[in-house]
Amino acid sequence: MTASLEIRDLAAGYGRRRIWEQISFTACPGEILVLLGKNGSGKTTLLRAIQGSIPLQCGSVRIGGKDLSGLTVRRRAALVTTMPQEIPAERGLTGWDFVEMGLYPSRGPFAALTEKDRAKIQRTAEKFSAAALLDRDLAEMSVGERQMVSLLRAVLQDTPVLLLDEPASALDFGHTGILFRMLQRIAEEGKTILMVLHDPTPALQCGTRLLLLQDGGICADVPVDRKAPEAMETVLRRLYPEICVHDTPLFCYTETTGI
Amino acid sequence: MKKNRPVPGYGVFAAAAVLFVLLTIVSLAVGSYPLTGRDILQSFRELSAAEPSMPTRVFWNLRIPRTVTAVLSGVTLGLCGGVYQMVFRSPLASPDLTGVASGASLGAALAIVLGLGSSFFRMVAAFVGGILALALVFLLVRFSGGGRVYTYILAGIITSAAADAGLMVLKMLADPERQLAAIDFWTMGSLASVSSAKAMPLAILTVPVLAVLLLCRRPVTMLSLGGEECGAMGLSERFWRAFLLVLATLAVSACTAVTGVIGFAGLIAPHIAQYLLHRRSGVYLCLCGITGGILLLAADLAARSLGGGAELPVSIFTVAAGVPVLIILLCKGRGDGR
Repeated sequence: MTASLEIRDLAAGYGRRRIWEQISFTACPGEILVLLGKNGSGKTTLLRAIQGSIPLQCGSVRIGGKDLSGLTVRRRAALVTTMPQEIPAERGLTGWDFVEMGLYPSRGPFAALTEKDRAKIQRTAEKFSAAALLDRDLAEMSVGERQMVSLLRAVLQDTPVLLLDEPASALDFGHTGILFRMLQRIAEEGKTILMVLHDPTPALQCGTRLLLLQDGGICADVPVDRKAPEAMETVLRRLYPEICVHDTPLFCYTETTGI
Repeated sequence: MKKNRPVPGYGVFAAAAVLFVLLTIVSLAVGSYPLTGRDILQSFRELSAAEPSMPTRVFWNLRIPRTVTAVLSGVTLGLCGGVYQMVFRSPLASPDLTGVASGASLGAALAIVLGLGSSFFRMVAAFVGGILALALVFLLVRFSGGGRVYTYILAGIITSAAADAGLMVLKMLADPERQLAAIDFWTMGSLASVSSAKAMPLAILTVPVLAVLLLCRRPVTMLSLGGEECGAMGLSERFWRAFLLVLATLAVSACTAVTGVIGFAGLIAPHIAQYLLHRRSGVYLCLCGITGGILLLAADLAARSLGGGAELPVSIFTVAAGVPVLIILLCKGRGDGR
């Protein structure tokens, strides 16, 4: 299968400081890459560099064969979008107002929403059991609820590559399940997902590949093999030396989500 | 499934619009030479008469330019205030923030002190002062290599301070009998000396700018979420913030050049609008403009009728209205965690 996301020799940082360098990997449609790393290892910076919100010091990012460096912000946002860790609790904007902005790359600054667009927003929200959030004020939502709204916006944008920065860090148990199940479904539809997670458990359950970011570079890039817990354990111990991976866990799941 | 999501606040909006229109009509009638409804109708009939009657002349030469200016300045200050608060992501932002008011005051004071006394020239000097202040702000932002929200705010504060210092020097140099009073009166704002020669360029400049700002509602809302969000959603933050600021500031400096400095209207109009609407999308910016128009029409009515024949500065009333409104909003906002 042809790669949808190609990262070559990337280096970036803030000012003169380099956070990491020589990062190269490619990802195909349908893959869910999970980026693991300690605090301050540059996970969020990597997402920012791919999105283009910080300048690259060297290297290139290509999506569907197109180099992003020459594209306008709007063209880029039609190929890749980021769900940041947190969105501002702006008073006076409803969930609907926020989610609607996911249509900006296709609609532009002036065009009014069509009936079809409205139905699409409503449908997306219902898929994630979050339709009730559309009428609520962002300032009156909890952090987790805002995270859900932010996810809806990113999904609505319908880009081939989706970057998620700790998407479940504030979600309740039920919505975490919905999130990961929906991400798997989105990936099956042919999207590429790259997400930062802190908890390796959902990374192993939902991801297809692990990227470990450490000491200014990617120290491991391995496919997730749910039948080989020992191998996964060995890889993860590079980051978390005391981790244990079991294949017969006693964990809770809900029947609808399977996670 | 709700197919047609109703846009809330149409009731509030309609009420505000009705009040706005009523005040506009009252503003046409009230003054040291009161006009009746019949006079006003008569004025329209005598529009092209060779020798118009006194009421007709008052209507076309005084009331129309004054009311048009009050409406345009009020709407501009309110709407641009709303744009500033969204774009700067700060409830404190107001059209004075980028140093426009101070720059325009400096320009006007310079014209007064140099004795280039025609009021039209004073207007041009004030406009140039406002634009120069804006240019300086952008230069500073450019120079600092920033472009983040606070860079603009800091650059605005620096520019204001510099212009205020210049204004103080001019006040020292001014002839205390006439010029100093003129400078002071100018910095308090008044619509008393408005003529159609001033109202026309104002209309030509502000109306298209206001129309474009209203069309840009979506980028304005997106900017209120900050740069990182904008990038992910495909909006070029730097371009749009600069574009919207230039437009809004252009319109505000045109108004300031005509009316002098009108305090607080641009700050409180968006707060009132948000309090009424509970939303900052949809008709919010429109309502900001209408609220600003209502405020300025009311303040100007007070300025010309409460002085007992004398004209009072209009800022007295906008500020006097602004303080209690801000106190009420401050207390109402208690406990919402911001």
